[in-house]
Amino acid sequence: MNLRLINLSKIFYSIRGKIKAVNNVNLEIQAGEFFVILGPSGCGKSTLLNLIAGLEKPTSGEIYFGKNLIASKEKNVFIPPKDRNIAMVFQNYALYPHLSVFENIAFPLKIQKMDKDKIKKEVEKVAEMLNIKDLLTARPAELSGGQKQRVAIARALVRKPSVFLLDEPLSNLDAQLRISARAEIKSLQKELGITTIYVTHDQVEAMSLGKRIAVMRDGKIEQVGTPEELYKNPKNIFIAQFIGRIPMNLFVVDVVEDKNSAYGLIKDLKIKIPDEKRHLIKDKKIVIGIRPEDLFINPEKADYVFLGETKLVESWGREKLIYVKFGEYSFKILSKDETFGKKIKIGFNQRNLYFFENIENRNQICMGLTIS
Amino acid sequence: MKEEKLIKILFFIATLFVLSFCLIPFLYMLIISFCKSWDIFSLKEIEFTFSNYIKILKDPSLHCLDYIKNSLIISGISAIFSVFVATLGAYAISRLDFPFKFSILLFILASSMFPQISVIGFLFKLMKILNFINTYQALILPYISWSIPISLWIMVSYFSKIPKDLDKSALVDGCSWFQAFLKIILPLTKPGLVSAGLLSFLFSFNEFLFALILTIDYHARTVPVGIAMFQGLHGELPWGSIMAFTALSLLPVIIIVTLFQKHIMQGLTRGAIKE
Repeated sequence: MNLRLINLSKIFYSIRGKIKAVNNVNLEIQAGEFFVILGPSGCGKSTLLNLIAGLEKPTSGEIYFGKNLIASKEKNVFIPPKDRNIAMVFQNYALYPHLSVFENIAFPLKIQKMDKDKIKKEVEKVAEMLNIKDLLTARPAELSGGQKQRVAIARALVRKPSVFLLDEPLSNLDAQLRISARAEIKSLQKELGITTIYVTHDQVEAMSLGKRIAVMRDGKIEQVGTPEELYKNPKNIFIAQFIGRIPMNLFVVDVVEDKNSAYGLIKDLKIKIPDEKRHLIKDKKIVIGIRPEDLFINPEKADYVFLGETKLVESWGREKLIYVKFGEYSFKILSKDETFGKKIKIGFNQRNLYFFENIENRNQICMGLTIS
Repeated sequence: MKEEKLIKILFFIATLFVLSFCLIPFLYMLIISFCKSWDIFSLKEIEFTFSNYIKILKDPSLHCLDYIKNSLIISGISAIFSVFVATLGAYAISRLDFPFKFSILLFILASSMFPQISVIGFLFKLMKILNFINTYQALILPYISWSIPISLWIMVSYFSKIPKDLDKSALVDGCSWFQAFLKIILPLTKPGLVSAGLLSFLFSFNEFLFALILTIDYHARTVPVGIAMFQGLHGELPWGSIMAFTALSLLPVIIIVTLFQKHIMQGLTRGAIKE
């Protein structure tokens, strides 16, 4: 079943004034798609999920499940969560502590008044699928984090929902478990083909899970696209810094223009600004970005080469993260190469560069991420 | 090592002191109720007997069993109603967003802090108009309203301990609001329900002033007033009978409290969420 959100907004009123948690969101999620909503904490992604689940009523806008209107303030339609055939996994699992694992998983079926034999069969089937068959008699308090999470997923899947919602389901697991759980969720979703919406603040999770990702900030959707699109064509500085293992190097530079072409100046390096990016120049300034993994040490051939000064080296095992100073500009470089000293020769290529418009109060916009 | 021992000894002495301070009156009551003479210090006359108990149970003019029955019915109904109303109110307060929530809670608590004597005059007039004097409802109604604030506060603190994600989860799993409350939230607040219920029961069982003013005879009179009235009936103080009656009326209370207190256990919500 596909999902459509049209001009969806949610405003919370508090003593401090009104907060636009979700601000005019338009989205279309395909049937069977694994869709990820990514954003920093407090960006409204959980509220958006709650709106889809029916745990919150929209302030304005409409939600469609397939052809059916599910919620609309204007048309006074609101289908309660129990009639939406959705399932949800919460960050803290939200298992019912007074019920055994079996009763927890059986709970949605029991509410539907399914008969007992069928419930037993369904619960055992889903427990088998998630490898928790030997835990069925245990209480939630006796389970480990990973097991609780499996139970929560089993409870969500047992009644074959048409939309599967996950609200940061992995953030309470330790790092190793998270990776294996991630793979499991992905293959499970592939197998079952349920339309899935997954909310996370972790871009690695988003990139590895999502068929498409929507990046959210301050209640607004900044960009929607496949992981590759977001990585290769970030729409603005925020997404450029948010997507990618290590935030992109970004520099506000002065622009010199002549008749035919424009150049950005990083110290004495003259970076060519392609003609199709020239509209981004504002007040003779532009932001140039380059990813740490696109900078090379001692390049044989590169469009631009400069000699920097090594400030700090973090060893990440196979790779090193090197902080390099070049005049007033500092670069982060991710490299496997170890042959460098105090002075370091670095190269990069034109095709790996990103260009953005310079925005006046960029610090606020980048949520504290720094641009040198 | 020495210090630990000293602390242990001091702790033991302190416990012993507090315990004896609390329990000696009970012991005194029990001993007197089984003695022929109430003068415990004239050792000669101490003699074990059931006569006090037999006397109060056999004498119909004393209405001891009526008082106990009245007390149990009035306290039971008050406790059940007070917890019922308080639970619904507390769930709303803990789950719904509305302005001045905390002020409302404080106001409710403040209203229970008025001395009882300040409303008794009005209450008497009201009950007289309603023709409720010397009936159960004359006591049940004020007892409910008097014990709701404490029940409400207990229940609010219990509900706020239960993570809201459990409600949400139940709603998504197909429950209506009421089903989510009944099947998920209420079972988890059982310790709160029991402690609120026991406290309101004990309040109603012990209450004296309202019972004294609003009842006339054994039709609605409760135990505390009944005990106080022993004196008037016979001129002198029949300590043996009074103590026997007190002990007798304590019996159902002790049974009820021991039956229910095992439900007041902690950690029922353990394992619901990851803290």
